[in-house]
Amino acid sequence: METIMLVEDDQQIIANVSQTLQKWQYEPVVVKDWTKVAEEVTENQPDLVLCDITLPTFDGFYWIQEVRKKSPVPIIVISAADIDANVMHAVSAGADDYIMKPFSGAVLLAKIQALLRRNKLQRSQPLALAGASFNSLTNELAKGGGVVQLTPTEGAMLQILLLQRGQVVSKREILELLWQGGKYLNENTLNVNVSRLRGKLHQLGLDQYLVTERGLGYRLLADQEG
Amino acid sequence: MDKHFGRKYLRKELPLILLYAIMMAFLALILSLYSVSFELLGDLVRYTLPCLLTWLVYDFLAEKRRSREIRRWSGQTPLKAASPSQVALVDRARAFEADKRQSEQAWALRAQEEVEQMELLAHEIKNSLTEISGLASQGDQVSSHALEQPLRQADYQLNLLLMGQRLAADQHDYDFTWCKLAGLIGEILAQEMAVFLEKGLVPDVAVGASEVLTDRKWLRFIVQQLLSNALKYATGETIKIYFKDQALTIYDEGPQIAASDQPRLFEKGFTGQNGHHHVQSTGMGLYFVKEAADQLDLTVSVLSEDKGVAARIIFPADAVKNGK
Repeated sequence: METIMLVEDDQQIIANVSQTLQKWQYEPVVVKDWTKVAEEVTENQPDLVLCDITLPTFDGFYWIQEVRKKSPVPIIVISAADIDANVMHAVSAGADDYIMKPFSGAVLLAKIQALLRRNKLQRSQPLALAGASFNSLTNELAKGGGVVQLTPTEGAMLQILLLQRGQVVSKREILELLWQGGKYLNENTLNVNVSRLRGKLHQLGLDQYLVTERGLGYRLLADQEG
Repeated sequence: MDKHFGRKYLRKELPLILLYAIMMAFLALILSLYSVSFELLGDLVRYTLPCLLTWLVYDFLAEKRRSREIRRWSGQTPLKAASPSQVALVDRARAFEADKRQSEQAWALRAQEEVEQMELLAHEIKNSLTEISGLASQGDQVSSHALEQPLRQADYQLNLLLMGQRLAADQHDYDFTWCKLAGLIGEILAQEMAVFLEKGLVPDVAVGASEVLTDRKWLRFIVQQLLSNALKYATGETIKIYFKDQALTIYDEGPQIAASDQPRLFEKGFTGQNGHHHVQSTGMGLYFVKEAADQLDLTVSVLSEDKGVAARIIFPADAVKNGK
């Protein structure tokens, strides 16, 4: 499980972001001593740092410089607007990307995933579904001797559901994540794609795992439930 | 009073004094050649020197008075110039004064316009807050769905306000880099998803791997504005976004632009015939777009095309890379 350090003092943001991160199986870590941020980053060895520009004691720009002296850890800066001059400073001081308030969970996730992928800090465990394994790069679902080829959209949907295994994912959230990835579906095309995905799962005898929760969304059952 | 007045004055009068001295010296020379007694010279000096000194004193005082007069001159009443060079100086001073007054007036006007602009946008934000307030007073809970629209509006207006302030401050904070259009457009589209879905639209994107050389944040602003407008008026199923012939085009199938509106689209505060249907039209969006585009050396056009309207951003040829 990758750890993500939150260099943020706004409790509301911490709460929301932590919730989102945990949902996607990332572990959030917060700052304890605002005068020792760089040390805490070294101590915790996170896989990624989320850093706000406006902070108590010293600003984000300062901490990014300090952290960069010792570590190449990917850093995403949180700012109010990209027109903020501090954002440019932060990026030239060593931040890798920036995200603007107010941001949705989907955007945050997309940026984190993009950075981790760029730094090759991938999830080590392959995605599995009741004995079948899913390759997110080739969009192939393989079980036993059988292999089913999914379209990029079907693959993206399956991945979203696999990462939140056992939990209901709302249609809205699936759409948001697909749009982050440049796949512009609407509710109708989403339904169509889900049907097609179910059809392909059927070829491997796995369609019973993909459940529609009326009014809530979709859920991929845990192995033991299927 | 100028500290070195005396010294400066003497420097000015030096030629005269020197002339007098040289003339006396010449006289002395000539007298000696004619073997005339130097008593003549002595008498001459005794009678002319006081005249010279009197003249110098008079002139010194006159100069002092003149100097004081000029220093106190406010530029309102005409100043009597005593010499051709003074005439030139007086004219110059008057020209500077007029320039200064003009500048001050222009700045005052700008400051006022900015305040008005900010108030206009602040009002819009207040409207959104009022809406949210209204929702909150209707019960113990507020549905997140109902909050989406007013929050989005407030954020939009706030960004407009920020960008407007930035443009007005004229700070030229431009940072030109090569921007991948696909990435930029992707970000903006993901942001506008809710609006797309609400209106039953999806984007149809064809920008390939093209890159443009420009300031990313300002280009984002321009594209966001144009897309926002397209979303306001679009009907049909898709909004096409494509890059062709050095231009990024956003095409929607909505009502075409009235001929009478066409030349005024980018005017400050212009809301046009369709504006009345949309409560949140401050008429500032396209005005800011034009301002920003001018600074970036881009051409923006919004024209009726085919069955709808095409908003186009044209880049200079050397600012485009089509990439593979």
